[in-house]
Amino acid sequence: MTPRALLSRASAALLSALALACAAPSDEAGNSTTGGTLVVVAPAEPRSLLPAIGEASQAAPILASLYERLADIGPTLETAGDAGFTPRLATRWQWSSDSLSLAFTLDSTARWHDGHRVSAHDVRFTFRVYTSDSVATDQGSLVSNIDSVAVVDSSTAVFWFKRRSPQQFYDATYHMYIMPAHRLDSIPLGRLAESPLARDPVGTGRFRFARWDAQQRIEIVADTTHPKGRPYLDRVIFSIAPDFGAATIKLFAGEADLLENIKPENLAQVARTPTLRVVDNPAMQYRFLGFNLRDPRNPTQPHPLFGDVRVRRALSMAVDRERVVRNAYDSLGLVALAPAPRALIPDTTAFTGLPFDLARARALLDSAGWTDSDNDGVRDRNGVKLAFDILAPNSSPAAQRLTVLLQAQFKAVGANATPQLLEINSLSERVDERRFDTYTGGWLSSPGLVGMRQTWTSTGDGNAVRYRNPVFDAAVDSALTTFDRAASRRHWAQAFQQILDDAPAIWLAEPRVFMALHRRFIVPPTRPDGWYTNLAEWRVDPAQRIDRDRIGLGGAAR
Amino acid sequence: MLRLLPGLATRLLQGLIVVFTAATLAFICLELAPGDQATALGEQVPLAVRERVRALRGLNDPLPVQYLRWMRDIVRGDFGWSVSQQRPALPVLLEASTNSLMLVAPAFVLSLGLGMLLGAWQAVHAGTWRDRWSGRLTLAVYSVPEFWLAFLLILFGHGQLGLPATGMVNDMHAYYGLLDRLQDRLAHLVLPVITVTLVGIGIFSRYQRSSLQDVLQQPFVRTALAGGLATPRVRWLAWRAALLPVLTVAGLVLPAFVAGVVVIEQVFLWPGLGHTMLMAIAARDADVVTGCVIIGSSITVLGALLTDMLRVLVDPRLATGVSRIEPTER
Repeated sequence: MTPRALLSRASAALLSALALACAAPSDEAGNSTTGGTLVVVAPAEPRSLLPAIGEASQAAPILASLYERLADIGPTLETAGDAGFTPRLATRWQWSSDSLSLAFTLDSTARWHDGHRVSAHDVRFTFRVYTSDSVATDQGSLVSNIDSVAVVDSSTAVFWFKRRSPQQFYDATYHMYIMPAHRLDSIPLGRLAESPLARDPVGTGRFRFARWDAQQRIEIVADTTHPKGRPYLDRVIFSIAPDFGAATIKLFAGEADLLENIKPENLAQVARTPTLRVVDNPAMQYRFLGFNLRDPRNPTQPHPLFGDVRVRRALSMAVDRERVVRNAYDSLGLVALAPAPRALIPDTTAFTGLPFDLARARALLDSAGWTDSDNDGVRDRNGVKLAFDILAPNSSPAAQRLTVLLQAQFKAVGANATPQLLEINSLSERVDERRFDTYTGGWLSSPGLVGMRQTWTSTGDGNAVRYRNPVFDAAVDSALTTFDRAASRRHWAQAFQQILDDAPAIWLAEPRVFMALHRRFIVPPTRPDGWYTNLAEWRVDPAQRIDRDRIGLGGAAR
Repeated sequence: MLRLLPGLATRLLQGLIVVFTAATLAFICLELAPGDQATALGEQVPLAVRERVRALRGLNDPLPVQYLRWMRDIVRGDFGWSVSQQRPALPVLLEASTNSLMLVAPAFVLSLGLGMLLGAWQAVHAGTWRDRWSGRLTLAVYSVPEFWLAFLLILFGHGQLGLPATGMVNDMHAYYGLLDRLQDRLAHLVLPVITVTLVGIGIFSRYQRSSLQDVLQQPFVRTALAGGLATPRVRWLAWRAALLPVLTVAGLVLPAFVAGVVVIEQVFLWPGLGHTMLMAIAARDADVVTGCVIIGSSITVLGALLTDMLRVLVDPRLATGVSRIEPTER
């Protein structure tokens, strides 16, 4: 070996050692605090890894790790104003004097994973994608208050709003992951899904994309050059297991470390498995039984049963929700208070729901003219029986249990409910076309309850029961648009009281969600907006490392 | 074999019609089923967005228009676009078929070979306790639901022997060396292949036993034995004569193996053709579903064709139209 080659090798070795020393900080025991592999069992394969196209729940953890927003919402999920937000791609922002425009200054050190600098053009391009008619994205309607995005210079993007609202900052930041214009703007927006980046994404997050084995796994690895610092973990592998039984086999066989949404029947087994622990995964969801307020055969007419508020209130009072929830979810569910999870309701004591009261329920049905004229146990009026269907998905054991329990409770007041268990697409079609009497549904709420307009107001297209009440609409609108926090709480209380009184649905349960996680992971508290929010802060206890944690960031065969 | 050629052309044409009809039926069934690609996006996606998806993908067009569009693309060799995987359907189908073959090919060969051996052994020992108990055992294994059999094998194979329980390869496969990668791939094949093989043995052994037992009772066997031919030689000749029913059923079972081991694929997380089709049906992914049907029906046609050719090889009289030995007078 020549002296020159020797020198070259020595330099390379020294540089490698330095790089390792920089990349892998050590704790007092001398163990590296970075490194480790997290294998997550994913219930479905994402359709795409382009934000705006692939933002379904199965893509959410990966997108949140690969891409960044301009700013991130704080742990309290406060949507009003900008106080709770932390800078991400933007280092600072400036409101105009009339608050109708907001200028973001981008982080000058921010780079795409291919090395290009992040620029204001990326921000403008992203807004164009999210609001394009050619891209069917479910976030589009949520940014409708933003009129346009202008580029002042390469590091300054200005958002122009149509009107002032407390959620302006939230609208500008929460719904959009910034996308790389330099890689996508030559592609017609209608063909964006066919872009190579849909399956080989380039982002700015603290993890970068590594590989996607179709229908098997998606792997992301630590970006060791990220200006905000590398994540503790070396890699996260999302191992795709659409069958829940197979997913649990994978978990209990030690082939995976995390299974989200573990079922109640598996909790005991997790508790018995020494390597696993149960982690509370607070989710902002609630379930309900919705009454169709319009006649499915003639939507111009009220529903023959549920068009009458007395019937809806009576059926609501006929349900002992405490018992129903306990039977359906055991201790893993809470009785829902209103059409929102209690964590998002500003004041849960400011309104009262309908009580469980069989005597009042029967009296209310009597007063509405529903009596059991032929003594067959089912009430009737003018020859019409108080009989209806309950649609439920056949894929959800909890929903099935709910329908059977509801059927029994309705029977006690002389209502004949027939559960109809449908394949999920059939159920969705029936609900979309409003061809149902009642259905068991559920919503994942957005921070700040901004999704209330879409789900329950008269203009919301998620309002499948066709509930219409201008008082409720106005209260929701006022609650979401006022800058006065106390007034907002009052408006929310009024809105919840109104919808509870109108009883377009029976608010049944807030299921508690748990995930099973390998004990070697040290994780910050999980947040309601996603267990993966702080994924870069997850780490492995050096003393408990297993083989797959020791691989390091060396190259893999592709 | 040359005599088969005119018939072969006819059979291929018939096969084409079968494939076309099956694919058309699959297309129509999927269109008539409740919901579409937009519905399958889920309730959390706003209705307006789902309506826009329908408009963008032409899902509101009349069924004949959609059908003609699909047919035009198929004729051009364009299998369309997988909406559930957001990529062309052809690579989806090719990957799924390859995965299926990796599982099914060894399982088919093993189950055919072992099933024929077991069936022949049973036929030779017909009526004895060995025949009765082995018959009961194979029937029991065949009758057990596939998923249960798979779970049992996982319990034993993973729990006791440490074999991989799920997947085609370990999630860390890409970081292994060449030999480790090969070992990993083979280890992941063990449990699913054994599951499919056990099911297959139940089928083939019963056919083999039944047909060989029939042949062993034929007069020519008694004559051969009485004439002093060695027993192994006679059994060999009888086995050859008893092959036809087994080959016939093998040709029919092969496509069922390729596209029909859905449950086993689900339990072992093996993304084969059946698993892919199931996922595609749930997502109303029409192009992938019809593609899977085209592949499945093509394999059925080819399986039947291959069986016919093998039958002729085994019994050349079939090519001449003489289906059985006519008694001749001397």
